[in-house]
Amino acid sequence: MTAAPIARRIGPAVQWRDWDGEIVAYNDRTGDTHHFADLAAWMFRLLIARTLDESGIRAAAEAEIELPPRSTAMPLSHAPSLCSINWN
Amino acid sequence: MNSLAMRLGPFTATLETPFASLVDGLHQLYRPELFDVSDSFADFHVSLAPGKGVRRWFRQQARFLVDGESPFMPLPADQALPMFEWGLNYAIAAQAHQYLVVHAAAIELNGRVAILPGAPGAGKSTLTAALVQRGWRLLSDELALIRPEDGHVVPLARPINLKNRSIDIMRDYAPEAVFSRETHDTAKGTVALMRAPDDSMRRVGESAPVGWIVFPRWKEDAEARMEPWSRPAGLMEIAHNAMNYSLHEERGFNVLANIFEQSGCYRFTYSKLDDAIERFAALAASSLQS
Repeated sequence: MTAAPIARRIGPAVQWRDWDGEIVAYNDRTGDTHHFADLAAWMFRLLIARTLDESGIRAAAEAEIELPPRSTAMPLSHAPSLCSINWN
Repeated sequence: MNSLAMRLGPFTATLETPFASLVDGLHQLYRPELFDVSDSFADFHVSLAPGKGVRRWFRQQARFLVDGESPFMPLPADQALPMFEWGLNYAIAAQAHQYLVVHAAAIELNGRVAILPGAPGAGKSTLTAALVQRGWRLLSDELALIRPEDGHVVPLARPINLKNRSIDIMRDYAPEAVFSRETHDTAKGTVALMRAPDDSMRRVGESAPVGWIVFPRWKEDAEARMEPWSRPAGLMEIAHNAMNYSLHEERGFNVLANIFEQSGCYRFTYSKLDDAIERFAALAASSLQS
């Protein structure tokens, strides 16, 4: 059985500021504060604006930056190492 | 037994102690009107008591108690004055949760505050001591009290704690300043307290908004450099240096975020105090022009 794609977004529990291309965010669910730069900041902005599943995030990334062919692309399951916020 | 009450910025503390030298030291370091407290309420009930057992007489010790609790190990009795100041820092950081309490110095010029967080050894206290001897107002040397309602820094103009080489540096730099006697062999080495300028103590009721967050670092032979720094990185650093950031939850984040929104964020490297004074003057002047 194939699992249904997980839709991801950044929920209302997250307060954030965007300064000079970098983001600082506070997650009220965990009490953690995070600093995102570069790709992590880009993905944060993406998921503030829209709810996307894995394929949607990949498509947005492909449109934004040049990614290697899909067969060699990094699985999205590695994304938490880029962006450690708890999605909710 | 000596009993006194004193105003420390927004707080009142009472002190009971048999150590007359401690009371003399406090009268040397604080303005007389700060001991004129008519209110019977006190935020902190402090006592510096003698050691127990033979330590009452032999190699006499002092014990710091606040509201009946003894959070520290006893220290030699000749360290009673710095112990009182360190103990008060502890008590304020542990209890004053009506403020966002940041481990940082705070100074003010032209109505705007510079917050100076600094790791031990970064030269924060020496820099602060020099700046307040050259026109900046001291709000705090160790604990910046940020009022969440408006983001203003509330003054806590207490003596500046100088260590080791900094003591002689400041004696040379500000010969007119008042210093406590030196206390040797403390956990921080030799320490001395420099009295806050009278104007800072007089204006202890005047809070002010933040204009700059400057992360200082003393580096031997370095040229003075004030470099703009990432505000998200600065906010993370301040949050890390705050004693009670997590207690304030979402409001704490928004208070800091609003402060960074309205303030310049810099990293400052220096070796010579005169150069540092010049750079800070330029910083204050640039904000007047903008």
